[in-house]
Amino acid sequence: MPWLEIDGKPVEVPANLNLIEAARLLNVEIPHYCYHAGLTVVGSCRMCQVEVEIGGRKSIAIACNTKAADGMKVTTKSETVQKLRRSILEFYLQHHPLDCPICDDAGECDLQNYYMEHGLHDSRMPLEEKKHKHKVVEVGPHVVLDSERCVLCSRCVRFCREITGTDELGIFGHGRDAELLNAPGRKLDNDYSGCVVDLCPVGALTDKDFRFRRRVWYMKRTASICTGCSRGCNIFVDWETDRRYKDPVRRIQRLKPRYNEQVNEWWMCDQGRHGYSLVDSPDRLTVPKTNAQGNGHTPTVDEVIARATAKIEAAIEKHGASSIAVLASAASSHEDLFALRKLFVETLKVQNLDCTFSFEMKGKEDEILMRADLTPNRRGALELGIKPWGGEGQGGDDLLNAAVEGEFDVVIVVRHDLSSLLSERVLTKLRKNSGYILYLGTHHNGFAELADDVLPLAMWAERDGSYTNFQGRVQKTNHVFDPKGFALFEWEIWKKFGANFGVELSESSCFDLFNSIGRSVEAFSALTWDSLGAKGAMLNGVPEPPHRRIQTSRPLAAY
Amino acid sequence: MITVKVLKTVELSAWQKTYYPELWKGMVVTSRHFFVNLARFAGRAVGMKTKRPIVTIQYPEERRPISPRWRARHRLMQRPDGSPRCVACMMCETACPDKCIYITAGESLDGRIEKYPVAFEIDLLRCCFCGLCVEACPEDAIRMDTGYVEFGGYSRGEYYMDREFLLKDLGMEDKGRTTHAQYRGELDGVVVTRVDLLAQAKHH
Amino acid sequence: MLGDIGIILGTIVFVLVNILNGAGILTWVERKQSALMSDRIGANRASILGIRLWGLVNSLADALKMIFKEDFVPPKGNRLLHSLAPMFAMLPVFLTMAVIPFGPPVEIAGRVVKLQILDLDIGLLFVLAFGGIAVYGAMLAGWSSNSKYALMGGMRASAQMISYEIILGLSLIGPILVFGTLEPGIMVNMQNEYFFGWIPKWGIIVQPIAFLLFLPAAMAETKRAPFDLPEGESEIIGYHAEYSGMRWGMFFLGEFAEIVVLAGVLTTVFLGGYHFPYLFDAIEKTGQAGFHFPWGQYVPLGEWTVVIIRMATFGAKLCLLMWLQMQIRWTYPRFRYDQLMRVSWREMMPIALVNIAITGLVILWLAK
Repeated sequence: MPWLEIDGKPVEVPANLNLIEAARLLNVEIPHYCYHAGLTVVGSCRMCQVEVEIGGRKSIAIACNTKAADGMKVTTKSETVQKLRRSILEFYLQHHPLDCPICDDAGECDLQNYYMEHGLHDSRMPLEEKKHKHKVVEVGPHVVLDSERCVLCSRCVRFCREITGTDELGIFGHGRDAELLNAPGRKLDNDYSGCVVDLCPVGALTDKDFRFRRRVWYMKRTASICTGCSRGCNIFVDWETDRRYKDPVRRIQRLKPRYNEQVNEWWMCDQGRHGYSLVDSPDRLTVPKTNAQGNGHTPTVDEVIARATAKIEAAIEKHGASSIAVLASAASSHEDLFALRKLFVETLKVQNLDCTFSFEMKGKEDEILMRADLTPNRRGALELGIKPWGGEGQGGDDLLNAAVEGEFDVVIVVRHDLSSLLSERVLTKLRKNSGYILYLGTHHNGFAELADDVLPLAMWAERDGSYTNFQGRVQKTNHVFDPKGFALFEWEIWKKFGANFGVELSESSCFDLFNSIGRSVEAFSALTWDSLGAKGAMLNGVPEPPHRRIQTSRPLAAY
Repeated sequence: MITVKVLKTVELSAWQKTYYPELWKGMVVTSRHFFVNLARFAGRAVGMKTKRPIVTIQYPEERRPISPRWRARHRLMQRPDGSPRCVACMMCETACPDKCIYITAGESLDGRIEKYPVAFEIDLLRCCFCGLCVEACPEDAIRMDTGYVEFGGYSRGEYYMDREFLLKDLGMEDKGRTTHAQYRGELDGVVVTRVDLLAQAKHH
Repeated sequence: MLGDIGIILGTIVFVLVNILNGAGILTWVERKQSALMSDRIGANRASILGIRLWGLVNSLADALKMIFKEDFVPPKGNRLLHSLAPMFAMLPVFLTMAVIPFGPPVEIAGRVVKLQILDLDIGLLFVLAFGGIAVYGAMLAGWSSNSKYALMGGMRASAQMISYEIILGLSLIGPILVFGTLEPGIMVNMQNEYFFGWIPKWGIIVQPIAFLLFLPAAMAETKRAPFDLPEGESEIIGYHAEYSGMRWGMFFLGEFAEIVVLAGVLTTVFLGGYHFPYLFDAIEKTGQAGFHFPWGQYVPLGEWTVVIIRMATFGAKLCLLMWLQMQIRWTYPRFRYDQLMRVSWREMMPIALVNIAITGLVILWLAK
């Protein structure tokens, strides 16, 4: 554990730490372009040079490739260093097109920031003599490249080589003709291509989807997690609703990965990155719907709940609780499932209840982030007891088969779009054989047309909620903006049902519900909403996994 | 703290209390104005060069020159080919304290100018005419020098200026606007320009 | 007989046409005069095919507007009285003009024609009587509208008008005592006499205090500023709050006609009527019509020339007095209501009584 002095302040840092990270411990930012903690060090940008004094010898060194050592005296703000930075910045800006007004990165650009901080020089390069390179190159389906803005830091090149191992990008040419381009015949089309936009310290690589949509300073940022698969990557939601009346469809502007060393590090897959479009999709269910009455009558939530309650009561009176089936979803949060369990399992004694089905959609799986299981809360659902019922009730596929065969009077389906998952024949049979189908969903689909009554559900960005990923890590989404239209939280619906059946849920928020789970369910016993924090917490009894260091192929050693 | 102010009633003198002398004084003042103005009007009517009797400016037909620095209705500047000079950088929208500018940026495909305003709208009803948008513009694409100061309308929609409306306004450069020289001339004596209302109505 | 009727009809038409036109033009005069007084331009925007006539067209536009406006009757008001009220306000004014001589008697086709509609020997009482009837206009308007504002406006109006009617009557007694007659024709003729041969015996000279009392009292009767509390159009809302269109216009037509009539009465009683100083006709100076100046000069004029000069004189005096009324109206601020009442009962009335007493005493002393 070396002791060293940075800008006159002594600090003890872990071994093998470079000076940029060491300075970060003291909240000192050393400017840099090419260095990224998730990638190998190449030391090409020369921006991070600092004065290092060791053993009485003073020298200039690049902070990214200098390991902290005992007795080091590092100066990050001396006049020599400032002069160096200014000169290097001037080199970087020599051929820069200065098109900040139309650059999407303006506002979060390191060139801008460092110029304001360290540069502030007047350009000595006449405008018309600037070198022109390729502009608006579509390097991949999600990424657009502007070579003129590029500072050749090679972060994106290293990302494609080290993290995804696909090698789509390279730097070609020499000297002032050096240019970032696709490898011949390749497109930047790997599953993580959006990450190169996050990595790019300037505006050279921009997200096609976000291009020209909003200036970055308009957006607000909320921490959340991605609910696209059972990984639960940590993300930031960048959103803006102030101009909703001009652009009513899109509230989330983009998603950015949020660092979590145990889950996703700095990365995020393209599917998750662009998955927000479902939240603001025009297909969203925004009002309750009834297909029984038809003719454009829009019922209120209370009307639908009253009718469903009557159906359930009638079914129980006639054939007992075994005439009711609930097809719950592992995409619901703990709070939803907890309220559902309290209502159906504990009060109504319904045993035909499950959340795991073989027909559910499967995704791509790889070693980096993507998981085949596309539900964010499978493990949480199992821990809460929404599991195959075995002997007493029916599990999974058996439950569905029984429903298709007409064993139940009332079928309640949560979130599953059965119309796209089951065959037409099975669906028709299910419809014909079931007395009453209640569907709780987020989007208009075939099944919403088929069900008797439909209640709209809020999506992840519109609500607070907690989910347990496949590792056993409990993480939470945060309320970003209000649900679209009259959409409701799922637990809110179960609470309203509960009131009709004499179960009074005293909890009136997600926080209370989660705290109740913590009190009553063994696996969650150590957890409260506040203890989840920004990065989540492990389930009771599950050990913390080691820090990840995603690296799939050979580092770009000599570049 | 309470401060007491004692108000004293003005005591009228015996002369004033008879009332008629004071009435007479007032009458003299108003009558003097009446006759002086009448004489000036009459003199003008018969073609004599009398002083302008009344300083009222008959507004729609006559108008005082507006200072060239006056912040009037906005306009968007054009490139030589007629496309907007604006690159949709949203600097004006960001600077606007009233949030009355709405720009929707688009990507142009001709490869010369990447970003351009698909829609550029100003809600004049929200605008406070501070001129910050003009200050903020890096391209000199928005100006407030049209000389338009008349904002009458029958519906709110008329105050919502879209891109095409803001762009087409180049003709006003010599009509409503005053140059600095003209304006300085105006400072020496009242110069009133007569405006051809009919021609202006056609212009709209 | 037929001739008499013809003469009477002729004079009636002449007088009516003049008053109505006068009232109409006065609306324009009022605007323009007030504008000139306060250094403005005044109404001038209305135009017919670009012809503006310095704003005269505005009066036409106003009349058109009032004719085509909705004639509103308050649903719970008294329909009959509501329609009667404007007539009560307007008619007495026109009737008053009947006794005012606007020219000397002329001889047409062997018949002596008096340029006066009605040659009443109780002429001045007639004026006061019909002035009194005008109160009904305001009262009925206020009552029939079934509105608090209108009713209170009507009460204010009637209180004011009755108070000032007393001053009106009392101040007229002075000239009546002096001239010894109630007949306007004779009164006018008596004003063509001269003190010491050169000071005309006009009412304003023999009865200056009566003039100073009569003028404001009469203006109060016309309900115009500074006595416009009954109307107070924009602030305190008057008796015609529930009137619209031409009915409302009739109140104001009456008011403007009243200006003309008032000027006529003032001219007759105080300014020597149609007489031009030192101008005599053939009857007064036995065949020597023309100017007889006090220094003995004689300018002979034809009989008809004298008549025309005298009618023009009447018109000129009328115009002067109308101008004066306008000037007063646009110069002085409105009275407060208590001031209005105090001026009438506690200040003007004692002065009027004293004036009568002194006049009486002087006449007695002179008669000895």
